Amino acid sequence: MIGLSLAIGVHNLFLALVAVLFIVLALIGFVLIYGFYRYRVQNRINVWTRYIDMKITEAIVNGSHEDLDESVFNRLMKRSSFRSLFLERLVASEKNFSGVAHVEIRNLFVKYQLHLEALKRLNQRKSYMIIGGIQELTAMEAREFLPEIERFLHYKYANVYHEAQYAMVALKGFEGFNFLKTFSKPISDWQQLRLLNSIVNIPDTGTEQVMEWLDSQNTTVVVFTLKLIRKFQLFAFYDRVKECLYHQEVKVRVQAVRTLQTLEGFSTVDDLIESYDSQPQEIQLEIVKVLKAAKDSRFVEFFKTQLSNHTLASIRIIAAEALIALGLKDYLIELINNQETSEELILIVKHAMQVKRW
Amino acid sequence: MLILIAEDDELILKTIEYKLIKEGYSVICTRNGKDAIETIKNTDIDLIITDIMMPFASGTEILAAMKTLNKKIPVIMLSSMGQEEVVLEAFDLGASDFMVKPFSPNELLLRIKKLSNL
Repeated sequence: MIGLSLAIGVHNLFLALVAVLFIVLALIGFVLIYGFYRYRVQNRINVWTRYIDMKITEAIVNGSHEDLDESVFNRLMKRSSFRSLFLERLVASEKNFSGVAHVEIRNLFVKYQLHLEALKRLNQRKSYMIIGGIQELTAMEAREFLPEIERFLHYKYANVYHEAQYAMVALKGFEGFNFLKTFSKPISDWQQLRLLNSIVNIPDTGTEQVMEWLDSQNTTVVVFTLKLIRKFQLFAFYDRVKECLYHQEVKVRVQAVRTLQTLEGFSTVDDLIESYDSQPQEIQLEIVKVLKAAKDSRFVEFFKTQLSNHTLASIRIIAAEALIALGLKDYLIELINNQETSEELILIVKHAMQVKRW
Repeated sequence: MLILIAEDDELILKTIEYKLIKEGYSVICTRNGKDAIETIKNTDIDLIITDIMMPFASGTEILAAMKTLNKKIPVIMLSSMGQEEVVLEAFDLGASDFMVKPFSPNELLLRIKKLSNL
């Protein structure tokens, strides 16, 4: 009986060992086959990349119309993965070349109808695919497909609508900002910077639109418009920017102060002083910075008051720095030596004087 | 005229090489700064076109090596936007000219011709 059960046990153990061995062999086989497959794919990509690069190089140097043998290339162009790689290489090369070379790269895009590849990506569900398609059409300056990009301006994901916004401005210039009129979603700080960098001039006819954007219910649109006014120093908007000092959103007020500083006129500092008392501390800080930069001796008393009475230490420090800049260092030394001066005020003044010295 | 091109971007390297060969120049290509320095040591180069950012040794390191080797060869630097400080450093080290990417190969050719006539 014991012998029989031992024999069954050994038999089962043998079967288990065979099964484990089989699984291990199967795994090794799978890894080898997959590795070989990846190697073949990578090898094919490398060969294709060299082939595509040669095509681009020839087009840049000789012109895209001078093709001697198109048969192999046309055969490869039937494969979607090759077309996709071709487009990818064109977009990458576009960043490196300008002048006639840039035109030839664009000619290749048109000649081989690579817009179809980019448009295919626009119909995908995944955000990164859509973004890729928009970027490709933008890089290749495919203005004829702007309506296709336009439909993503109000897309549910921020990264997609941001890319569509950038494409509109990059391809249409100032006119591309038309979406701001009805745009209700937030525009991130980074995207605002990107849009500002992509625009080089504002047409004379654009003032009406700028005025409309300042009235937008979307705070980020108003903030962006103020930055736009600042970048192009649109002096005609001075009074409208001044009104933004009383906007319900603090973020808008901060930008209004900074924009007024850029548009500085005879009345700017007076306008800021006028609104000072009614502003929250964040805005008061911005105003004090502007007044300090103005170095106007009319505000000596104002700075003295801020230094002595304000509750925010950063404002008091700036006020002290402003007084130093206005040549009132002796007044501050006197303040330090006065027995009645509080310890906190002494520290603030000393800090401001140290900063100045360094 | 023998020109050395040091550039790690394959497409840029091939395009410049193809363009210069078509114009009748002899060309040596290297894909990193270390190989470029070795080539400068061992070959009589007439002009160098080099990228600033490269593996193993940068464009400015190539210039520094040339100074040590006492090689006076005209150098055109290729730089990207935002590398102004490096470009200034390159001029201090003896670079003759520089171009910012994206660049025009035709313009590069004009600059090469201008430098080779000096």
